[in-house]
Amino acid sequence: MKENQVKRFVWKLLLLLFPFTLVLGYPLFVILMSGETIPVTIAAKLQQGSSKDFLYGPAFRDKRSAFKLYTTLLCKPKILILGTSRVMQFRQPVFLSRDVYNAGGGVTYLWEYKKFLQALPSEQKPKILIMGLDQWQFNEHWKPEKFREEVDEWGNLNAAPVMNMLFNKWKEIYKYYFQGRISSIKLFSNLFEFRGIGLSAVVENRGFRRDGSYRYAEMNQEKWEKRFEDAFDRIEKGSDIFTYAKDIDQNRVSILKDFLNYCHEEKIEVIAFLPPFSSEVYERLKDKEQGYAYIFKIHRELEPLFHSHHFTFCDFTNLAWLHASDEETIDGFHGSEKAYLRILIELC
Amino acid sequence: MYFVPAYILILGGTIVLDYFLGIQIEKRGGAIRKYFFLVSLASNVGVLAFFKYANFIADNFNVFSRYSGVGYSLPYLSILLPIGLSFHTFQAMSYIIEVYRGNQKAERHFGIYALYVMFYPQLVAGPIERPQNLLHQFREKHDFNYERVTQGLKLMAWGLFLKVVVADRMALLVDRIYNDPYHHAGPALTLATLLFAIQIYCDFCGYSTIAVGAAKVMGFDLMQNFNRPYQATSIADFWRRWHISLSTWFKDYVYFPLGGNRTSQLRWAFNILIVFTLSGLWHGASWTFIIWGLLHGFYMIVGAWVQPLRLYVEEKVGLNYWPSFRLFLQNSVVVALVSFAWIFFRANSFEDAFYIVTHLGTGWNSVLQFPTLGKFARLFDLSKQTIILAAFAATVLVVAERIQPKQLFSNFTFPAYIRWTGYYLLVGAILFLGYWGGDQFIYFQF
Repeated sequence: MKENQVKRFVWKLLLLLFPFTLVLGYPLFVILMSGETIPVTIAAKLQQGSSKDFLYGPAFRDKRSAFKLYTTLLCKPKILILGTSRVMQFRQPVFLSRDVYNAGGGVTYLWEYKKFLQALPSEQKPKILIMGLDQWQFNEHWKPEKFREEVDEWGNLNAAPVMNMLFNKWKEIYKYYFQGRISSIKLFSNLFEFRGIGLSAVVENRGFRRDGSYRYAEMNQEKWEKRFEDAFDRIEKGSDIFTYAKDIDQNRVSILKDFLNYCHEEKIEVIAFLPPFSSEVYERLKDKEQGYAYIFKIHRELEPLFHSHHFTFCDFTNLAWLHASDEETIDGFHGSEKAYLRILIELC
Repeated sequence: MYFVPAYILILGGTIVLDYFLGIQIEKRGGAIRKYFFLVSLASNVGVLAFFKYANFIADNFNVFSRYSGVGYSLPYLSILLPIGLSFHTFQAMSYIIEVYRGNQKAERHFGIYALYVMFYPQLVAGPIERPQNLLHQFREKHDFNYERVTQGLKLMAWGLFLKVVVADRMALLVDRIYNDPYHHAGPALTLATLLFAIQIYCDFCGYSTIAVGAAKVMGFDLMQNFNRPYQATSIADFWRRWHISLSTWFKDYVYFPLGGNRTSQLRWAFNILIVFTLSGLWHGASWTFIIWGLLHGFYMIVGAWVQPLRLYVEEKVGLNYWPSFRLFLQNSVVVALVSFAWIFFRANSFEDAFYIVTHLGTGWNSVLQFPTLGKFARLFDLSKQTIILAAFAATVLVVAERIQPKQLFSNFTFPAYIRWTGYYLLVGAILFLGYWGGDQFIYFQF
């Protein structure tokens, strides 16, 4: 009698869950095969410990800051490159030293630079810091809530709960599948010829290399021709990183000043620069000079802060100043690796 | 709040102590019996006070010391709150009090007593059980029973729906406003407050329902912790429906020993304020929680004192002839008062709460300017889809509360095709409409 009840229960439970299993089965396969839920710390260890240089490119979980910090702790570089996505193009092979790590993408807000360095033990602090400072970090109207109090950006370094990711991302996975962006064969073959950790790395060959630099996915002709449109659109609307402002925010200048003092105390030599916009985007910013007046004041106002510590600070806001054309861009505010080679040459 | 493995020793320590003291209290008589009782209470309250209130006490003492020139500061402790401390402490105290009163025999089996305190479905967020209800169930055999297991699973599914589909969706809207209230005016602040009322109910009721359902699957019956509180017609009625296990705990172990309502009016009012202040403090070590508790105490006192006047006015106006409208009015007043008090519960600081309270009436002329969904969504800086999902979830909740019998799912005698459609829709809603962004249960922080 009890056995019949149990059987009846199990059959009805299976009947209830079967349709959902069908729907969620493929997304679960994608998540597990791509290694999306592998903890950041394990991914960093695998990448640094492997003889093969594979990519780390998760699609659904942005733990860049934690990944870069943890890898920096593993690598203990003498030369550290730090900034947002606009420094991710520097590659270790162009340096004479092997002791270089690109922690680009590890910070987003000005106060995070110091937080990043403070997380490194004294004996692991870099000797040289190459840092990119995004122009909008000095815009008081850009993300003011992130500057009111510190936010814990490191977050949870452990494995992402598979079920959370599954329920949150299953629709996106099907969308990518029907767009032809997910190849089940590539996912399955990743078990045998390991290409990377994370969906972007496995199917689009896009992600962070072992030296911390970022490999972007190939662009088709249509995407190439429209690569500045997003920036133009944001400039027209005055939104996001292109929010209008007349003056530099002095509070943020104070944060930078405090950071430079910290580097001076820790005997870290700082080489800083303002990363380039494409020439076309720069011209649009100039056309709206009233809206972006603060951008054209940054170098003049900040240079004395660097000079007082004998640090270097260069302004590469317009790509054309590097004698580069807009062919050397990925989009309106990210230069290509060639453009960043030019930056390195100038910094030297 | 974190899970720290070493903290299991705290739980273990209090279990061992209360197990031993419970037996001694039953065995002994006279002063030594009372002594053991007080030791048990002191150890439970002491552990709770240390982990939960040490820094709050230090904070307030230091402010007092600064202004009075005492010149001495208490140190702040870097300690984490053990998971479910407030709940299992109260459950353990309930056991000791009932043994002391002679209403419950002391449990001789250590494992069963430990299980009573640590019963996992209700360990972290209640319901706070009584020994008379729970202890004997651990001695009974629980065979597999199809109806009971399916009933339990239905409760768990409903609880999960309340949590991930309703509460967590509301949280997206509420957090936008409450985490930065200074950039919002009356309409947004009011709406966020009302949505928080839904959020906290669904969050806590959802968890309780999952706990009751999980226990039921294993054959155990836990007490009902919520009974459609937003259908209350008075504040007293609200507290008979909201977090029933906690409110009855305070009633039986604080309010009645203080004299209850068998005292003078003034003393009764004092008893009410004590109980609700302690209730506020139980919820959190912050002045905003204390103010929240005091507000409810104030509501109870004023509600009782103006009742004769209210009845007189209702009779004069003729509300007695429209009982449904009268109930609707009463219910609306209760929801408004309770929602107002939630401002202090949710606000991140006293300053934030004060700002919200003083700006509820501002900016209402602009409400006519955002009648479209798009403008409304921009108010919360969220997508239209999120707003629609939140509205849908709230509607399902309201309808379900109206049509369900007192015991959820206990009387579902619909035809199989209707029931199974409902099951598929419920599971589908949980999986596909739920917000799985990782928000923990609000009451986990207690």
